[in-house]
Amino acid sequence: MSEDEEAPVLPPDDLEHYSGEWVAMRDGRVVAHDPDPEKLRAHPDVRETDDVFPVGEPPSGFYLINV
Amino acid sequence: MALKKVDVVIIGVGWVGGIIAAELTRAGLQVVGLERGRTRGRNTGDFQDDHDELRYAIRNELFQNTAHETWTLRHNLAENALPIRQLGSFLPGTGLGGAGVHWNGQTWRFHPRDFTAYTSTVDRYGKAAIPTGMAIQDWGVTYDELEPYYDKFEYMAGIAGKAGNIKGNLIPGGNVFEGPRSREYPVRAQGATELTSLFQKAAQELGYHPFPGPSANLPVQYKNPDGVTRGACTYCGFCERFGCEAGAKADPTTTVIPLALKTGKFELRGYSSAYAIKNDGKTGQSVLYFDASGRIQEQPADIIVLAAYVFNNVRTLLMSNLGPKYDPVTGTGTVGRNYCYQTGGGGASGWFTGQKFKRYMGSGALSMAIDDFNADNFDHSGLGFIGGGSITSGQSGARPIQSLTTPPGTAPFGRDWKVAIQKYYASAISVGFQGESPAYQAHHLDLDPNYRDSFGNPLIRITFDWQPNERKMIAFAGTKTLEIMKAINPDIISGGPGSLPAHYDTSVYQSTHNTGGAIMGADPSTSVVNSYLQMWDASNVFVVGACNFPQNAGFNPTGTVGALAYRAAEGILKYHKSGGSLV
Repeated sequence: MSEDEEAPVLPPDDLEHYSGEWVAMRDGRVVAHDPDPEKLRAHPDVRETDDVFPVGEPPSGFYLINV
Repeated sequence: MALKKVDVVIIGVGWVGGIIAAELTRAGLQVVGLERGRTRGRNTGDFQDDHDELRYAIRNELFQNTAHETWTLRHNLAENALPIRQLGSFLPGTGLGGAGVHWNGQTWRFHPRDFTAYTSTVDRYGKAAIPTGMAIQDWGVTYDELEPYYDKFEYMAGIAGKAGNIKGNLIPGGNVFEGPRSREYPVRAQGATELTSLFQKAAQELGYHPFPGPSANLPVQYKNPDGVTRGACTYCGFCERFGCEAGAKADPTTTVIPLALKTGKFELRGYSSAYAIKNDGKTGQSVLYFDASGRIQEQPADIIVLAAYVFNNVRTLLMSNLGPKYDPVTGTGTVGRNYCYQTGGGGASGWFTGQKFKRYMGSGALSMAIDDFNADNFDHSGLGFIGGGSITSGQSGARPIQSLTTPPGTAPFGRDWKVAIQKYYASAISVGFQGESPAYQAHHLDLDPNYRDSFGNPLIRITFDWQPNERKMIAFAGTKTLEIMKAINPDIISGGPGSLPAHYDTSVYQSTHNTGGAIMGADPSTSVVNSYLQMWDASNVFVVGACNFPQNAGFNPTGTVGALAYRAAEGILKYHKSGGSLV
């Protein structure tokens, strides 16, 4: 199997569906999502060991410019 | 027919090529430098009274022309990569001096822990702290081994700063988290401004350790050990994306390249686009390049140095079939391995309603910083991520097109927007975060199978996307920058847990720090070059630059690139004398 046919590391779930929300991920899959991080952490499907983080909107606006 | 053989041929004449050319020619070697862009019109006089933001910052006068040569991007191995024609996320330079002409001048040293990222993480947190798929490695060189070369680069470039650690003695007011320096910076730090003082005071009140950011923008005239004198900064605010008309910003065209040319042993060839190294699998024999007329030329040399930008160094190796190509599925091979970027975001912004600052004045690296949340300077237990980043508040100038900032909720155009930019142009403050970018098995560089440049050669293909570790790091960083912004106490605040978008997007400026692909290390099975940046597979080929970083740290890379260039130059001279492997 060629490398282009296999994606062993990156998550299959596309986070574009969750822009502006918090998600909980486990083994590369989104298990729950919510705009409120506290509600998400209290979600029955979410475990303490899951990766919980916000998904941002596409970048725009005011940046610290440094090269 | 091949050209006359020389001692050394260097591909790319920016900071790395310039430093190596200066060191080798002064030692008596005959050196040819191949520069893909122009070699004239790159002096301070060429930038005089040329504060043309449209020309340089919007129309990209000093950058790579993506209509001729660019890269393709995909977010994972299953996607089809597409060519990127709009510069944004990073700004590769072209022409003599490379990105060293248009950089801002932030000149950091990486932390001792950065060079032993894998070992240090496992020692403190255990192997389980490293997420599945993450591929961080040690560098094969330690901070202490690299310190003399950092020192040499800083004294050549006249870096302005305040030491926080000299030979183990911590010095309040400097960066107390930094590795030990052998001596103080060559130039006193740039002074604090009204804006950066607000950050300094707030950070101190919160118990953090603010210090002036290390800068290649001279606050006073400076004569370096090579006898090169440069003048002081006028704080015009046109650093990043521009050449420096005052010569106050350290630049290869005002420092090392003139030294090399003065010897009479450095031949510079502009509009010369190198694309491959002719080799027998063990030795590089010559460099193949297109000259200004598009004809293929062959330059033989005893020693070949790849000193171009990350992408071109890796592409040249891949085009040459030199070194084992990296396979992201098995994690084996080396050329193209550990491509990393820089994790930005997590910043906070503020606006005052009754206070104005001289934001139009500034210099590229004029800033206050804290390092309390960089590297492993804080306990990561229970945080769910490893790594960190630097937090800064800078005053790099506020140019009329790209520096207009308005509070959230302002209309993006029209009368209300015009009223808002008038009201807030001089009243804004920002606190930014620049984070590490760890390596992952899937992230790499290779040759694109579909798209080619104007010469017909394959483009470099990037496979990269944001991962949960960095997403959690940015969320954490956002809480810290917001905490500081609240302590600064402007009338309007924007910030909070930082977030990265669903996918990495190269069309918007974030940072210009690409790394990896020809990484250094102690093991030939996991690195392309040894600690002298000499190829494991071809001892007369040296590959030097940010492409050597096994992963990227939470700082700007140029200080470390400069240090590696001086170490490589030393190694090349040793090799020229004795031959063989340097380690």
